[in-house]
Order: sequence, then structure tokens, then C-alpha cells
Amino acid sequence: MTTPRVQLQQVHRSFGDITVLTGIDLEIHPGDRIVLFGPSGCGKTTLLHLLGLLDRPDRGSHHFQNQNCGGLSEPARCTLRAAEIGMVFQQFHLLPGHSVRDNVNLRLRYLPKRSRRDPEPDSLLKQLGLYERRHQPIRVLSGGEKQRVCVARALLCEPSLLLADEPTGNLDAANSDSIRSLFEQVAAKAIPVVVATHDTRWFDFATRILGFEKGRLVERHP
Amino acid sequence: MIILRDILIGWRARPLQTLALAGLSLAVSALIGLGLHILDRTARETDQLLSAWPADQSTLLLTPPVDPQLYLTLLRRLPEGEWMAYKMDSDTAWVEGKLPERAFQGSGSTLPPDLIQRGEPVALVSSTSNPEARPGEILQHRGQAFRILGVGTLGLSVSRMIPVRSQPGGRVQPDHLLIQQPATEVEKRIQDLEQADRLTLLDHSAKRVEAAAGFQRVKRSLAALTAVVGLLVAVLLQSFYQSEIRERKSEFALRRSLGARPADIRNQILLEALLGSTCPVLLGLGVFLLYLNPLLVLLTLCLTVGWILLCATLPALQAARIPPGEALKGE
Repeated sequence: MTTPRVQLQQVHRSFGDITVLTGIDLEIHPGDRIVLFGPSGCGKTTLLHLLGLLDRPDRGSHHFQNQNCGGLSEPARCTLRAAEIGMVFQQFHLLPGHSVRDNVNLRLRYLPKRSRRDPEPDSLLKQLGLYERRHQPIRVLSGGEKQRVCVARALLCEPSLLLADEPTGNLDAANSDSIRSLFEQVAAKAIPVVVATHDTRWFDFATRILGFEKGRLVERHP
Repeated sequence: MIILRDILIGWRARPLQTLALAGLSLAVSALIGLGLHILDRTARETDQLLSAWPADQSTLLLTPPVDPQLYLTLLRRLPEGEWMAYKMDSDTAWVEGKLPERAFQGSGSTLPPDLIQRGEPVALVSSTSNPEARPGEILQHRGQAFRILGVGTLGLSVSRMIPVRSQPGGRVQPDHLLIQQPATEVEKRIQDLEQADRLTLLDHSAKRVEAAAGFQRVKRSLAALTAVVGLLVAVLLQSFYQSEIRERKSEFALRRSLGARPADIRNQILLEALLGSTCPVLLGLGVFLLYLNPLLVLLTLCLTVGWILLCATLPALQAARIPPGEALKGE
């Protein structure tokens, strides 16, 4: 049994009176393809933000590569996030006036020097079919292209964990398939991928499907 | 380099905001530069005006308000043997001068000038509190002996009427005194001077002092105006930065999700403000150099950049505190 890359134990998170997550236990191993499935508001994004160190749990422990994240200072969490975690968003969150390449390279800005594992944005852009458009501003790209830029940014310098929040939520069927196959390639490199979605077409991609019931994670089967 | 490149790309992506900030910076520096220039010129002209004090200068009657600094400058330049009066209100006036026999012709009594030894502590006393006091007598006050120069009827007291200038060690120059006299007495002195055909000189002096006072007023008005405009510009700059933060909230959240620390966000905004204000001001320095001396140009640059950084600090701190998760969800 490999050491889990991420381990959540009895994690709780609430916002005011609303309890979103309660008693979450989750282990993520290299090569895992986890799909968090459920309707809007069930806690998928909250769990992704906890996994991405963008938020802290109210209770429970969170270990990332055997490091207790709860004991880390905010700057240390930021450094860990920059070096180890790639994130893809439904709304892309790209800088519209910046070029494709500048958006991808933005990740380098906050990477600690020791973590810059031979960044090759151009080869990544070639793999994703964006090389020809590398100098174009984001605003002229289609939705599918924008999401591919987002994936390229997340994959630069090979993160240890890839998190995606509704990555195909704004895409048509063809672009969704293309993004899914891209994620297949990432997962094949033993990078664990966690996708939050309410799209059942992701079930084929998953090795584990997790649903939410009253803030708790439950194993689901396609 | 990577940070500078990021900022430059950001500026290129937001040309309107960048130009607006450059324009505001230029406006702030122009305002500060102009203010400094006027202050510098005013100070120099006042100095020039007062340095041209005629050797045979006579009595001056100043009417309030007179800048304290100007008053002291006039006092310092007052020629030997002359005095000046500062009219407080219709009843009283301060008289300052170097001739006791003139300065101490108060309402009560006068003092023969040959009675005073040079360097002897002197005082005026109130006839109300010291009814027995007579000019020429010695008065003990707080362990020190004062020669009574005059007895007044306007509530004068020893503590109020100690001469303004003293020698080192608390010794008082008897020939340089500050006294309080009825305004009518001062006016009477002036009338005497007029009768003595010194009216022209008096007018000349009055005009000179008036002009100098005018410069002081310009200085004060300018300071007030600069403060008001500076505050308005500060509010404008603050609003500018606040709206920038609002518009770029998701950008900052994205940067946080990519690993930016709160301090990175704060520093980015401050660095953008620093470069965004320094560049246009540096470009404008050529124009400033035509009008200002290099020291003032440097001062203008420092004040402008400091002012803009001050305005950007609060929004920068607010941006650094944006919770990334919530901001990303909000989108």
C-alpha cells in the first residue's frame, strides 16, 4: 500500500450556521482518479478548496505528503500550494488581457525556485494544441481553448495533485471529451486527479466516485 | 525580473487604468512641484524685501494679523534706536524697540534713560498690583532684582512685562524691551512722527511690511489650498485603488490559488503604485527642471511617490486579505 499523498481525517467545515462538510475521511493516492459527484451546493467546491489549501477546516486533520497542513503558517501553505497543487476552474480564471503563454507562465511567478522542475511551457502548449496561439490574448479564445490553457497552467512543473472544479461545466460535448482525454493523460503519469462535477460523463474516467450525503462523503458506483 | 515582467504585462492588459494612474501621478507631482516652487519663490522674495530695510528706518505700525515669523524677522532687522508697534486691538498695542526713553513713556510714568546701567535686569510693573512702585527703584521678583523702568495702568505685571530679549544667563538688555502700552499712546507717537515730517518713510515701511505680510498670506493660503487639493487627490487615488481592487478581486484570488502569499499581493500593488507613479514623474522631470532647482525636483519626486504609496497602502492591505476560496466561488 502506497503512502497517501493526501489524507483528511474527520474534517468539518461550516459557514455560519450551515454545516457543509462533516466527518470527512479521505485518502488520495498517486494515480487516483476521484470524481466528487453531486448537485450544486453539496460541498464539492468546499472540499476542493480544502484539498487545494485555499481554505482551512474547522476541525479535523489534513496531511499533504505526510505534512500536517493544519500546523503550517499561511506563507508555508502558499508555498506548498504553488509547488504541489494544480487547479482548474469552471470559470477558467484566466487573465483576459494576458497572452496564452503569459497566463501559463503566471504559475512560475509564485513557484519557489527549487520547485521549478524544468518548466517547458512551450512543449506543454504544443501537447495541448495551443502553441500556435501562444501570443494571442485569452479573450479571443474559445471556451475549450481557455480550459486547455487553464489545464496547461495547472500542469506546469508537474504538480503532485490536480484539482478540477467543474472543468467541463462551460464546454460543449466535443470540448468536454477533449478535456477528459487530457485528464486521462495526466492521471497516466500517476498524478492524482480530483474532479468535482455533476456531469455523469466523468464516471468513465473515475477510479472512485464519491457523493455527498448531509455533508458526509459516500462511495458511489456508476 | 519575473515580477517586473508580470507588472508590465498587467499594465499592457489594462491600458486605461495605467494611463489614469500615470495622469494622476503627474497631477500630484505637478501640484506638489508648483506648491514648492511658489513657497520657495515667496520665501526668497520676502527675504529680498526685508533685506532691503533702509538704514534710517523708523517706527512701524503693524496691524493684525501679522505672521509671527514675519514679526520676529522684522524685529531682528529693526535698526538701532528704532521701535515698532503691533496694534492688538483698539485699546492696546505691543511696542518693541531699543530706546527705553521712548518705549517706556507709558500711561503712568516715565524713566530718565541715564538711570539704567547697560545689562541691568529691568521690568515694568503694574500700578494696580504695585501701587507703591516708582521708576528707578529696585523690585525683587522670584529671587532676582529688577530696576523698575515704568509703572503702567493696564494691569501690567512683572511676569508679563519681562523684556523679550535677554542676554545669556538671563540678563536683560535694558535697551531692548517689550512693553504693553495703550494703543492711543502708540498712535500718538506716530502722530508725533508725522509732525516730524517722517510720514513718507513710515508709509514706505508700511508698504514694505504690507507686501511681506502679503507673501506670508500667500504662503498660508497656498498651504491651505495644497492641503485641500492634496486631500481630494488622496480620496481620488484611494477610490481609484479601491475600484482596482474590486475589479481585480478574482485576479488576486487566482494568484492566491497559484500560490501567492498575502504579502505577494500587497507588495504587487505597492510595487505597481511605486513604478506607476515614479515613471511618469521621472518623465516629467525635464519640465520641472526648467522651473525648479534640482533639490526641489528631488523633493517633489519623493513627496509624490510617498503620497501615492500612502494612498495605495490601505487598498493593498485589503487586497491581501481577500479570502481566495470565497473570491473564486463568487465568480
